[in-house]
Amino acid sequence: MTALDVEELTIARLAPRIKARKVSVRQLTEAFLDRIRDFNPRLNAYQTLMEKSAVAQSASLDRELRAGKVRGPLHGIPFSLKDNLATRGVRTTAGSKQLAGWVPDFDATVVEKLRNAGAVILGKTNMHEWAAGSTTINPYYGTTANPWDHSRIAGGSSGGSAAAVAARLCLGAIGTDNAGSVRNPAALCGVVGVKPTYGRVSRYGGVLGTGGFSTDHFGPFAVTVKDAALILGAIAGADPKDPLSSSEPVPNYLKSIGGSVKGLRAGIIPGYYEPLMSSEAKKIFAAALHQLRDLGVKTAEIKIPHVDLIPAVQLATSRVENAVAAHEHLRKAPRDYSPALMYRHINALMIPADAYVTAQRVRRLICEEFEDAFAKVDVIVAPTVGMSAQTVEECKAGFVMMDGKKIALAQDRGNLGTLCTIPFNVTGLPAMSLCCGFAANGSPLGMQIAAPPFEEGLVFQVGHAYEQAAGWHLRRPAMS
Amino acid sequence: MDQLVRRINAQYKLDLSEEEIQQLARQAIATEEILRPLYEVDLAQLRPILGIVNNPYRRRRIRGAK
Repeated sequence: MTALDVEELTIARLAPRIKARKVSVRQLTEAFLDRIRDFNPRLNAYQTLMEKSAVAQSASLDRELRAGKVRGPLHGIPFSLKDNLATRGVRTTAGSKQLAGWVPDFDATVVEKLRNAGAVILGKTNMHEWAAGSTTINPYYGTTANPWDHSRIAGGSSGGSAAAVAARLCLGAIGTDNAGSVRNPAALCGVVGVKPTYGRVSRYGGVLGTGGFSTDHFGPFAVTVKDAALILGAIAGADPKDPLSSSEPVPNYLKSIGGSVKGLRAGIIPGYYEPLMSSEAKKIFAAALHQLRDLGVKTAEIKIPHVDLIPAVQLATSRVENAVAAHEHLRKAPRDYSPALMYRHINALMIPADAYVTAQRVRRLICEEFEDAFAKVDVIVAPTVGMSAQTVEECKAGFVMMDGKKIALAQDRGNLGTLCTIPFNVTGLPAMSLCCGFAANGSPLGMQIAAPPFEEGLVFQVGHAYEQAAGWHLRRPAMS
Repeated sequence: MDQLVRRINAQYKLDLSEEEIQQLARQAIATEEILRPLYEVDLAQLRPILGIVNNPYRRRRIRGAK
């Protein structure tokens, strides 16, 4: 199998070939491991490689195929895991100094489900320190480069996962999304990233302190919408180990793929995103809406009266919930956090209890407003990011030039990287990011499609129709 | 605010420098400003969330309920 072949692969295309034993799992695994050896030194997408176990797992999966056993569409598919997902016998750092030597003796439920589905785990991917940022510039494990332009960030906090999928160093990845940490890097790396409904995917085995109890979600990265649907189908569902996981039945998401979108109504929230969007990103998003209309989707403006309070609710909720989880480390060795993260936790400790409680009440109001909006539209469409990936240098300086103006990355209205994504963390609604075009500098941008709770199928239906019409997923970063 | 920072500094044995204390105090004031609008929302008829629920939409609001 040549390197070029690997770049052409998707899970949906590969699964029947594996099932028919036209491709061996061992051969596939070796091809991806070779690719990682070639490209990871420049990208720093993987933090820990699991070569031995991956090869052993692939041999075992080949034996099963020879015996006529096929576990499903993920049988033999190469995957990566964000490094805040507990993985038995494998170092799991959460991108932190504190957990540099932690080797869990158990698998997170999502890891267990992937293994049961036959996925081959190639390694653990780099992430922002404790998942607390959207650059994946990590002071302990290095910066993950964007495969489209190595001088730019991959986004975050699951930057390694998105970069690995974009560079075809795996075909699927699992990340976590507390404020956009799946969707933001997916957008900046030009791949598909899904944040499912709160409770849709078990969070058991996620490292405590890498996301708020009530705002964090686990979700897949993939090359295409169909692949993302296949992965979500394998990892979703109730888990007795996670009391906040939902018992809502998991539908066959593939049934949604390929359905017509003619006549569906898409809502757009005016005014919220625009102040932190470049004129180029606005044009690209407008073109994506035009494409949706060409497919027969009806677009309409919707009102979320308290939408501007979302950054405050997110701050009072996830920052405080994360600080609670950080207590032990703060007491034991506070300077083991980077200064910025230690300050953030201290800042959270000063947020009064009445602010947290009030934020939860406003949050309920906002959830109701979204629910009312969904009485008028089927999906909500929004940009994922306000501009293409910043350079690493811009991020280190804390400022970026947008339309000739110097803009701070941290804003009162929310972090520039997460403003567009946090509405769906606060509300727990399912949202997917997929590529909706490229900036003049060659970097991708993303569009979100969100739906009512547990309507991921609808998200996939609209996303797939757009993806096939637009064709952005056919572009690949130059990897030579 | 700096008194609050000093209290946390002592409680957690953070060993913050005076410069850090002042910086954190300024950050806390900025955070307070961001959170202030939350208190201006009329929530009189809205019940608080009494626990984290895995599907708040299934427990539709009971607004105005006595």
